[in-house]
Amino acid sequence: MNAVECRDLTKAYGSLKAVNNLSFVLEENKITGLIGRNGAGKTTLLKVVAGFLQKTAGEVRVFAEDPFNNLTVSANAVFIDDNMAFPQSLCLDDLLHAAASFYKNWDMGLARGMLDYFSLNPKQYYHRLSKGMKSIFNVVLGISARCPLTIFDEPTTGMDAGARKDFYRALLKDYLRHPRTVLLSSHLLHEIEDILEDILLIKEGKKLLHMPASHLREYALGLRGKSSLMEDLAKSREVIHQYCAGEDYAYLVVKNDLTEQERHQARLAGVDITAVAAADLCVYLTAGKKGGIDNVFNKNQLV
Amino acid sequence: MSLTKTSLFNVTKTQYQYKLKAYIGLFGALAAVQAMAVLFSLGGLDSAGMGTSNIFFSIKMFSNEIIVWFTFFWAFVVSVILTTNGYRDGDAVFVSNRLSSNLANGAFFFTCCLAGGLSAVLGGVVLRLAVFFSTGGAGIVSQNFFLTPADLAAGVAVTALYLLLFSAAGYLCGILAQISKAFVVILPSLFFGLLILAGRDDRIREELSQVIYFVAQESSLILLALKIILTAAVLFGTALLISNRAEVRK
Amino acid sequence: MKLDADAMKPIYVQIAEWLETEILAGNIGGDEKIYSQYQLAEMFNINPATAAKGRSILADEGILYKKRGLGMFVSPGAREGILRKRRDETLKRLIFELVLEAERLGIQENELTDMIRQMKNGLRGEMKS
Repeated sequence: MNAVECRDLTKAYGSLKAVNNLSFVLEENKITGLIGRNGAGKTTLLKVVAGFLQKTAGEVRVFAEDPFNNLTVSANAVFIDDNMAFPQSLCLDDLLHAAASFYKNWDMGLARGMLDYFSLNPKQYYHRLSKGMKSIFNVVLGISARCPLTIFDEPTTGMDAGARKDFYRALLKDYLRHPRTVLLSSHLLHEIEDILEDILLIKEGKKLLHMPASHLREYALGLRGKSSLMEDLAKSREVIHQYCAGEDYAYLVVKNDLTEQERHQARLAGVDITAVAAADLCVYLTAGKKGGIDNVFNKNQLV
Repeated sequence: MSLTKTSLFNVTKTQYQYKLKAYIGLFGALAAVQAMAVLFSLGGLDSAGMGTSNIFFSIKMFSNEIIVWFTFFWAFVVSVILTTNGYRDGDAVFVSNRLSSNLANGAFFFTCCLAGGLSAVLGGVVLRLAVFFSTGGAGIVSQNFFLTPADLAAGVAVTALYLLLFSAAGYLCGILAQISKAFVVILPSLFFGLLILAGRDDRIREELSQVIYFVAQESSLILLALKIILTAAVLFGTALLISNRAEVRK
Repeated sequence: MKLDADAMKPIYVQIAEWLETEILAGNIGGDEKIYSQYQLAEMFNINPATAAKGRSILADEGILYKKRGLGMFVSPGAREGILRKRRDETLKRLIFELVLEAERLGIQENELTDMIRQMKNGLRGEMKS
């Protein structure tokens, strides 16, 4: 059974389509990274999948059921973002107990252990925690709930680098022991890339890519060299990104469809060929058509 | 990971227990409101004095009416609060759907009504004791002063029933306000508008009284309970239907 | 354990190479069981599917073989296979880069071989001591 299926899914707010005709399938027990720029529709998509928001058109299935207002989906899914509405009257330990009463697979030992590791006092109150500490508590809850569908929407807001690393490792370790479907949205792709199985890249509510994360490093090539040399290479293929430094020096990112022979020729001609980091590739793929931030400055200089 | 099966009953029960723990502060507010009401009541509702050159006497009436009205107000406000964003999203943090949330809310305000009814009547007892000790007991007209356990129980039941009515009304108002912010203006306007109209127009006052008397003039406890529970059920059911398609954690 | 996050190579290729190096170093012998995808995932902090892909590359090349229900084992001729592959592919590619750079810098062939010889002698000296 697939964990999540979307077919031509659309969620509109008035005339704005936050999710636009999106189709994809998430197989069970995979960790998928949902990547996109600010405002790409990540949160809206996740909330439709979690059953909080109602789709406008198309179809969405979670564990073969319509997730909206669905008790079975709710019992088998946990949704973590940086806006968890916990009552002010309960301390962290109370909240863990509440979570334990709601989630059948809840692991109290793990939750307590992680609170202790991150130096969170169980008697503290959630609303008194710092932003980063709140995020830590949220992800502890998300991991310990051991829900068949675990959704993290930008879970690391405010966490320091060390805590983020610990979170990714904790997520991976618990996932290895108790495999589940994880959907993780983040704009820090380079941090989560290695623990992902698949990447779903969206832009303006539409799907750009959905592929194994490990393939992303081979998806494109960076070519660096004299502009005259590059023109030939760029002619017949998809150019994902280009950047000109000075008069006749250029950096091109193209789809990786060069044959061994072409590569060899290019190297001989003095073109540097490098891999493109997955995070950079995603930035290039999701960039607007306005030629990047440089254009803003170039225009201003002309005036 | 295999899916867990759950039932509406189990989720509602868990949510209800969670709410009792999480919203304990609302009962603190009840205590505060009623303590205030007892203080206000100590001044007496009404007093009259009369006398000739030889004899002078004054009557002072005490009533727990203020306590009861304050409790009604509390119940109404609690129900409205239960429907607000923060509380609704709080449900959606854990396992829930709109139906289970509403049912748990219903169970919660039902508990509030029992607690409110009981404490309001006990507040009346506190008031009696305060009056008794402050006047020394000698001057007390004993009519309605001493209560039998049966009187007390009936008092609790009737108060709780009226509280249920206010709660259900508050809940519906709250849900309407969640659907559209326009209701925040419309509902109070409607309420006060009707009051003003009733003040001016006898016919409207007559009609309104009929509606109120339908409940308020009922002398049989069982019939009263039936009427109120039915009305509350209609109000609550309407709220439930309206909110069932609402989105959460927007 | 650390992988090179910025490397040009995909993670699963790095995993395959790490396993090869382990076999070459004699840490895992012929017909011995190799790390499971879950062990590798935990060791390198990577998704188990990526680790599995690293192992399956080696299985495709005959360096590992599968025993149904028992996991993956090192082929008896794994060492030779790896050595051959490294000579044919890795070393060739490195030499290509070396020669290309030498051409750009205008270094003559005998100069280049001298440099290689010197480097080799130097390393041999260091390894002995």
